[in-house]
Amino acid sequence: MRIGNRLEGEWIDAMLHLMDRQVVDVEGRMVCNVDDLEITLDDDGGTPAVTRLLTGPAALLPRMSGRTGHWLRRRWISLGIQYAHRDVPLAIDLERIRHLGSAVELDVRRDGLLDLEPDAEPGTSHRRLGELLGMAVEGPGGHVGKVLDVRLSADPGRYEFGHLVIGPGHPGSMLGYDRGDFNGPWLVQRIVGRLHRHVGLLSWDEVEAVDWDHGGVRVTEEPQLLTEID
Amino acid sequence: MKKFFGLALGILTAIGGFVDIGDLVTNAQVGARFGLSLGLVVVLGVLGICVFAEMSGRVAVCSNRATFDLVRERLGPRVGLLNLVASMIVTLLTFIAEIGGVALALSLASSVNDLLIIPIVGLLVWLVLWRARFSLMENVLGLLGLALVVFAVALWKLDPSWGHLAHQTFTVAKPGDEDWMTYAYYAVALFGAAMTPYEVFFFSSGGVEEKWTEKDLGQMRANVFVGFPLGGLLSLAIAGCTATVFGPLDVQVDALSQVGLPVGVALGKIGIAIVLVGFVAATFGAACETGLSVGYSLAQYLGWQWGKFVRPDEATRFHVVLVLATMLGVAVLMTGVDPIMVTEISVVGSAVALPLTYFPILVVANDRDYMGEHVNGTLANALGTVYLVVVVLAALAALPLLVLTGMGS
Repeated sequence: MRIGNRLEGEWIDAMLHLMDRQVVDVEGRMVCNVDDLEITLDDDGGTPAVTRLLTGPAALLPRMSGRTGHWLRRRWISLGIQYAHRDVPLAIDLERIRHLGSAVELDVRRDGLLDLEPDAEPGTSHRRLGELLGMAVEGPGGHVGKVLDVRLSADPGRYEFGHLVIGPGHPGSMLGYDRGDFNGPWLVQRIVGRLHRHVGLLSWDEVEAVDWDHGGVRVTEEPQLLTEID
Repeated sequence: MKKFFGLALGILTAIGGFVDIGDLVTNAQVGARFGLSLGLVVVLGVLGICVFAEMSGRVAVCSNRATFDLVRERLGPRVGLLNLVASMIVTLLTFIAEIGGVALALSLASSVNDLLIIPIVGLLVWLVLWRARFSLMENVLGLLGLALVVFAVALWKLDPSWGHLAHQTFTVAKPGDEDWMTYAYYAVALFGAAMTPYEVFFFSSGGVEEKWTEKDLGQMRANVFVGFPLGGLLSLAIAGCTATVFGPLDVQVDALSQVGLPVGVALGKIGIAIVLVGFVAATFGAACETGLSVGYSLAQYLGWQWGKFVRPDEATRFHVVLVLATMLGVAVLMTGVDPIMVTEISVVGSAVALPLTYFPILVVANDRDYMGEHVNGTLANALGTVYLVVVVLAALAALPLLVLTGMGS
């Protein structure tokens, strides 16, 4: 059984529907996991977009949480200090995805598929979704929460930022109880639902600035609670 | 006819493949010390593994994704990694215990020192993991494992006081000379022996290996809901046998030979011969399953190609992990560590690690995104929630009980 193709829907939640999913080639052979996502920023201030799937230790290790991740990344580099591209992850273009369901299905064979992430085009720069997730969000009235996810529009080859999913960052936001259509079990739904009752959605247009180097997002409005949207 | 044959084969292998070294040792120990007074824990554990396996089998059918794939997706790479490490330690311990169990059983049959047999067993296990077809491995070892039905025959021949055994079971009658702490420790151990996390890795990955589709859901459920409980009856028969033979003598079971002894008492040499076949098949089968589970969980976390449904040269990393795991298992056993002790630790470890895999499966089984129309119904969720509580309680109690009772001594 194959569930519907998310690419045909209106939006994708980057963390919930794309990150950490299995990548499968055109023959059904497994390729890798989605370890992180490449974000392309426009120097002129255009809307950022997810532009590639990233994989490999150079993509996964920095996600292992602040200090541990940093330590792991340095060890990973020092284990192969003579390699030029030790810190550059491997990348897959979004055009290669033909179906996004319980796995990311590609339209090519896996042999020789993974290559280093190319440098950013002139006038743009690259960041990773892993850097954005967990950043503190400051609104006009002070602390709003943390970035839990990014809602993307599924345009071919370029998934533009639509909304930020913002919440207090309690454990379990990847379980999807705050979004998606769950039917239970009652006990888990109550507990997780309560932990995440303050999760909200904020349009990317309300984002004033992202401090990528020090980690922080400034927004002009409070997010709209998901519980009030539905 | 062919369909009926397939159904019967599936159920028979589920019965024969149910018992592993953890069930053999723990049930025999508990039977000798506590009679059948912990029998209801076995029932609880068997129902639990049915609920859990059915859910993960259904998830595998509907989403084509096996357990560890989902663990990382739903818990993230960090918590997922902790989960992976804990689960792999427990599964490796079980793997080591199973290889040791095969060696002990073969050394009982041949009187050759088990240290000489261990490397050969390791080599055989690896050869099966590398070369044998998945279904062949499952069916042959599962059917041979049915030899353990001899425990049920032996119990019948021993003709115990059935009323007494039933009374022990249903009144949860703790023997007067044991304290409640030890009693609780063995309850957790029995529960861990019945509900091992590897069974779920293996079951869900096996569903992908055998390319189950929605049409196979019925077969899967029959295997689980008929095969597993009948396998659980074998566990109870083992406890019943040692309760009848060793219980009155106050003998402790701490060797595999003692586990099979009641069968010898009841049925003589023939019984011993059959029980040895059963021991070898059950432990060898479980060694293959746990070995594969180590590879499954690591490969699924990292996104590598896994499984025996592709040629070994298409899943090279997976097969490298299998080689390394087997070598590690043999190396640990060659230090002369007692496999029975490794077994005792592994069943308690199972109880500790269980919630880590149970919880994500319960969540995903409710996610329409993966499951479509096959999401958990009311019954599955009611049982699932009850077991979530039971599994968490057992996990929290396991280590304190292990320390406080000095491993139940």
